[in-house]
Amino acid sequence: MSNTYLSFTIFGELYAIPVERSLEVLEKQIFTRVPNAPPVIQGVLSFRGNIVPVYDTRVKFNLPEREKSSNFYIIILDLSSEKGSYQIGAVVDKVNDVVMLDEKDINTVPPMSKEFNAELITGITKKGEEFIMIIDVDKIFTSSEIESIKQATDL
Amino acid sequence: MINDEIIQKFREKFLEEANILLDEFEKGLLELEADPTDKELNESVFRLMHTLKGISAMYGFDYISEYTHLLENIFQNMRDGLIQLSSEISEVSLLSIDHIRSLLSDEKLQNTNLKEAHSQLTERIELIAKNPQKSKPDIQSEEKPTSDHIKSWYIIINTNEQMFFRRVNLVNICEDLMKLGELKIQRIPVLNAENSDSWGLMFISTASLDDILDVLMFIEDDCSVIKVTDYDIFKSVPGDENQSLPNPKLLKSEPSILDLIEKNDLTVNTKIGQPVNHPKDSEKQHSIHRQSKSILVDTQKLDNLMYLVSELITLNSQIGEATKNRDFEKQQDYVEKLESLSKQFRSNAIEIRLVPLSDIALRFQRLIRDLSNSLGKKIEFVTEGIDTELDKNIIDSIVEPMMHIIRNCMDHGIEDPQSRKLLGKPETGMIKLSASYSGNVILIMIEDDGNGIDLNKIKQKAIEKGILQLNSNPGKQELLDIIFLPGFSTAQSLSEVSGRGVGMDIVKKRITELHGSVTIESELGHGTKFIIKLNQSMSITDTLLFQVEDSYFIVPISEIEACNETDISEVARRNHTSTIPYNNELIPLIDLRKQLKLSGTYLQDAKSIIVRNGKRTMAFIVDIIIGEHQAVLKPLNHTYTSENILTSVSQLGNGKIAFYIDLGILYRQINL
Repeated sequence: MSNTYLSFTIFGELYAIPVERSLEVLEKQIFTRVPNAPPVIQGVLSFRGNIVPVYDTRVKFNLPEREKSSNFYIIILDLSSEKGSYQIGAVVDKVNDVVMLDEKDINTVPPMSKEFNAELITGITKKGEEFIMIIDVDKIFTSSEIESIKQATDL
Repeated sequence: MINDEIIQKFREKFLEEANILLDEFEKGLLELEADPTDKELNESVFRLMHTLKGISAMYGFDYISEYTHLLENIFQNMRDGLIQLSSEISEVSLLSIDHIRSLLSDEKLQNTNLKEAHSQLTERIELIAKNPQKSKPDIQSEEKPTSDHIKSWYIIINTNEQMFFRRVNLVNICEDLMKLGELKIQRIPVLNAENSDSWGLMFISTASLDDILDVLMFIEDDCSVIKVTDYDIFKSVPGDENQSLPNPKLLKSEPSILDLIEKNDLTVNTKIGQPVNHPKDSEKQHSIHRQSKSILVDTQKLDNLMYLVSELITLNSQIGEATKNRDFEKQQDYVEKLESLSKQFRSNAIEIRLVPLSDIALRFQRLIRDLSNSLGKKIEFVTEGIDTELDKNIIDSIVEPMMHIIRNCMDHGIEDPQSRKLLGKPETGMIKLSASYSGNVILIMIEDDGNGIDLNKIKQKAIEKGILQLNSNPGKQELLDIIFLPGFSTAQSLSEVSGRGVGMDIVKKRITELHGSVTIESELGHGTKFIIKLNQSMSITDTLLFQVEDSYFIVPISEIEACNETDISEVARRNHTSTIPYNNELIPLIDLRKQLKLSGTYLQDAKSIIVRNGKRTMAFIVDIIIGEHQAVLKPLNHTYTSENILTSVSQLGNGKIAFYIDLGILYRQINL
């Protein structure tokens, strides 16, 4: 069985997410920095009337900071669950294309450096000469992060 | 799968409808308590019960339909004037409302406690329904119900094919009738080719017409019941030994069920959504329910919306045309038109979300009624201006805090009747709920005429709890505000009603979340008054927009005291104390650069904004004051720290986002 994925680049590496989890790709969208926010939150932007937090995937994966002048894209991800509708924006270097990946070609993740947030990766596949790492969007937040979000929301 | 979804949808619809009906029923019942003889009210509560029975049976909520069927009997008797609302009936009915609400979430009666309650309540209801005379002790010399006399009835059942297909078991019906009295079959049908015939039954019983009709419920369309005599015609009647057959002159027919149904138009459909007989139709348009996600909207507001939509569509094509023709002048006109149109859209959308306070006042009335009984106090609930409208979300979230305040007033405020008498006050205490608006701000006041708040007690307790220093001398307002601090409760003893130590601080917190405020006024011996200030609609707030470094901030205009030039050298000189002189006083100065870790420094032309919340004043130092901004506030849910002073955001015309500073949290943070 094959599924459709959206592939993008972060720091020269290829990643992909299930295409149905992405709502929109925004190019070099202006967003507003949130004062006093943790570094992983780059800011907020208004998406279809909702205020959506923008996450820096480089910070999430412990990668070097993106150069200020370089181009970037924001993928709006749908993280809605039965607990409610919830969207975030993820900053990536470049959005490539939509690819079809066969489930049987997706391999398990080899041991990776501890600094790299490898638990976010569910599988690795090879497309042509390049490796694509598939991100589990539901794991973008650790449970403690979700907890603090919930606390902030419940207040 | 799809079927399940549809069923689920219908169930949701049912739950919503049932909740609305229960609310209406509760309201009607409470009104009926005030005037039990009101015919229209009697009629309308009966109809509501009947509708509820109908729809719950339709959607397969069997327990509810069974239960409401029992309850309906009582209300039918009331409607027919056989009985009047007694305290027993209203008590049972109110309990039933709560019970049905629980049944809505546990329709199969899986909870054993609920099951117990169910059977107990059912028994009570049956008792009342069976002995109508017992439940009217407070009723005068009305015509005595004839039900305890033996009467003779003639029942005609027209059997037909339909009955066969509906699997009506006439034998069971006869058996049921025999439980109520003596049954003599006059004429057994001969089954002929047409398969239709009629049975004639003589029935001697003490049962009332309603009881008989109940048994015949499933064949009510195909039968008629006629009262023959007011005695047992098979027994000899003094002075008339010969009478053994119904005297045609005595065949004074009681209204047949069919007639009844026609007269009262008891079909389910006509009543859902448009109760015909209720005097306050306009109020119903707004009725909502607590967990309900839907809202009833005045059709006029919807008509207006449709009108705006048609305007928008016209304008859309006009703009398209002008763009195609490159007619810039026209384009400009249209853009202006669009501007005014979007303003109208905005106010229309806000209006649609508004619901009157009276929708929740009912719940308070119920609370006061129930609580005053259990507290042994006499309390009257007075309302004023409760047609004041508020955003639905605000209404939904304000119920709990208001309930808490009312509970406090009842428990700690109003004295018991004896003490009130001694104090020279009327025995019946009063709780008054009043609402009014000025501009976009709604004032809700809850006041009681009880004994007020003893400031000395508060002071003593606050010192005990370490909230106040032993030798401090706070003013009256400061002392009253202590009530809103976490963990403070002045109740002498913990009671069931309030005073569990989690009191007014939660009330304050909830109201602050709604960008509102709450203050207390109290006069010892004369009463207490809670004043809640809220924005009518959460979505728009008049704010002042200012800038620090590259970030935009807004604070509500209503909190702003003054905007001043700032002597930056004075600020620098006082930097170590974080204060600024204002009106011959030193007030706290909030440095947002420090607070929010922004870069840069304040320049010589920095301004200061003085804000005030109650008695507390503080100042912001800012780079540029931009001006007024009508903010459409959106919650900033995804902050990592729970005590973030930036709680919401608003989008500016230039696409940037301004942060709303929650002054309540800020006050708390700097420990004012």
